[in-house]
Amino acid sequence: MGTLPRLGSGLGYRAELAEDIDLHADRIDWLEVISEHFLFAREARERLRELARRFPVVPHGVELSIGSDREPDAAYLEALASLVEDVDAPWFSDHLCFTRTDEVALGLLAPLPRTRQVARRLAGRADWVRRTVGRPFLLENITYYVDLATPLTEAQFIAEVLEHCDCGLLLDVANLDINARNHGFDPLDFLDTLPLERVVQVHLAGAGEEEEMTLDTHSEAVPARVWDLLEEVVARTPVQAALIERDANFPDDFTELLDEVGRARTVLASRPAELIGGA
Amino acid sequence: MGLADALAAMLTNEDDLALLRRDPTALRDRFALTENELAMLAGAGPAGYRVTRRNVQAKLRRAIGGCLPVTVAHLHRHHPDLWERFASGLVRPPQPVHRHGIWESERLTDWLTARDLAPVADYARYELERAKLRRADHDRTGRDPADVLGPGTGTGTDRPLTLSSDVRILMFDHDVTAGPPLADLPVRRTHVVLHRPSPSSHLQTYRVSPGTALLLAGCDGTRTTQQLVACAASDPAAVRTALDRLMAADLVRPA
Repeated sequence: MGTLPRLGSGLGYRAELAEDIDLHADRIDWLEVISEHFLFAREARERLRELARRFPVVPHGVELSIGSDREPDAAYLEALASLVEDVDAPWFSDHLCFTRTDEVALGLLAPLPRTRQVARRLAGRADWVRRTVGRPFLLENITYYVDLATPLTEAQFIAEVLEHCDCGLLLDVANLDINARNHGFDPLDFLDTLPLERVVQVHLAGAGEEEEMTLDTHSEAVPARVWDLLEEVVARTPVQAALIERDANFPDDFTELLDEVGRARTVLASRPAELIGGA
Repeated sequence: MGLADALAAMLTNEDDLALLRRDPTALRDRFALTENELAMLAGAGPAGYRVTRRNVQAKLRRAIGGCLPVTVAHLHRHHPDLWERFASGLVRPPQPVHRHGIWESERLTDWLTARDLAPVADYARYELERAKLRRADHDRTGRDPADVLGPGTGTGTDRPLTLSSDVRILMFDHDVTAGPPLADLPVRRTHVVLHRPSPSSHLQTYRVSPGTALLLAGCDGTRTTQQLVACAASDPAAVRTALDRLMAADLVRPA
C-alpha cells in the first residue's frame, strides 16, 4: 500500500457542523465525508471541492456493501472514483459488512459470516475496488449486534481479510469497545490478533446505552474506555489519522468537539519515537 | 440464496425471524442454507436480532421522515397504529444511493392514497414531489439545452415552448399550500407549480389558476406561442401576457 500521509486529527463533516468547522478550521487537521452524500449531487460536490482546498478530505462510504454476493454497482464505483479524484483523497474507506442482498436493502451495516472462505472472497473484492477507484482503500470494523456463531472471531476474520488483500485497516476503537462489551470479549485480545501494522486510521465516538445492548449512536462524547483503547493502539503501532465521529446530539458548544480533536492529536503525537516514520 | 439472504429476511420480517426458533428446518430449506450456516444463525443470541431489527426500522423511518417530514410527524402523532403497520411491514429493495428514502416515500404515499386519509395522502404527494425536485441534480448527466438558452428569450419566438427542466405541475384535491395541521387542509381543487431555478436555489412553490396550469401543461415542446394562444379559450392578449410572465419567471423556455 506504500506510505500514506499523516493527516493528524480530524472531524466527520456533517451539515450541522459545517459553520463551526469553517470558523475553527485551524483546529481541525482533516475532514472525513460520507461518500454517498456527494457521489451524485452536483451542488454538494462543488461545496466539497471548496472544502478540499482547505482541508485534506477522505470519502468514507456506507453503501458499498462489499460483502454482498453481487459486485458493487459499476455506476457507484465510477462515481466514487470521480469523487476521490475530485478531492485528491489520500485514501477512501468503507465497512467490512453487507448492507443489501439482491432482494433487500437493510440500510445498515450487517455482519458477515466470519469464515475463511468469505474473508478471502471479500479480500479479492476489496483489491478489485481499490484498483477500480485507483487510491488506497481502508476497511473498517463494524459494530454488530447479531453475533453469528462463526468459526472465526471478528479479529481473526479481519486478519484473514487483510492477509489476502492490499488494503489498510480503519480501526474503529469505539466499535471495538461496544462489541467487546456487548459480546463479552477482551478488546486487548482483539488487538493482539490484528495485524496492527495495517492500521492507517482510527475512528472515535461515543455510544448510547439501550436496555439490551450498547449502541453505536455517535451521539455522546468519546468515553474514557475508548480513549484508553486509542492510547493502547498508538502505543503499539503508528497511526496516520484519527477522527472524531458525531452524528447526533450535537453539543451546543463546538469546543467540546474541538477538544476531542485536540486530545486525539495529542495521543497520536505521544507514540514512542522509535515508531515514528509512517506506515 | 444463503446466509446473508436469510439474515436480511429475518431482520426485515418478524415471521422469518420467528421461523428460526419455531421451524429452523423450514428456514434452512427456504434460503438453501447449509447446516453450518443454519448453526451460525441459530447460535446468535435473540437480543442481537431484536436490537438490529429495531435499528433497521429506525433507519427506514428516518429515511421516510427525511423526505416527508410533515406527513410522518402527522402520522406519528395522529395515526401511530397506521404508521406502525406501514413501517413494520415495508421491506426495501436495493435502490441507487441518490434515491435514498424516495422509493419508501412513494410506497407510503401510495399506501395512504389507498386509505381513507385523502388530505394526508395529498400532502404526502406534495412533500414527495418537493423531495424529488430537491434531488433533481442527482439525476442529470448534463445540462439541458434549455438551460443554455437562459430565461427571457421572450414569446416573440416561433419556437415551441417547453417547461424548464426543474418545474413540476401538480394537482391536488386539497389546498396543500395551507400547510399543517393536515387534517384541516381545505377541500379545494388546487394547482401547484414547483420550481427549482438552479441546484443552489431554494425550491419555489406557486399556487396557480386552473387556466395557468393548463397553459403550462401545453408547453410540452410541441407548440409555439402562436399555437398555444390559438388553442386557449381565454382572450389571446391575456394568454400572451401569461406566457410572458411564465417565461420571465423561468418556468417556460423555448424548446
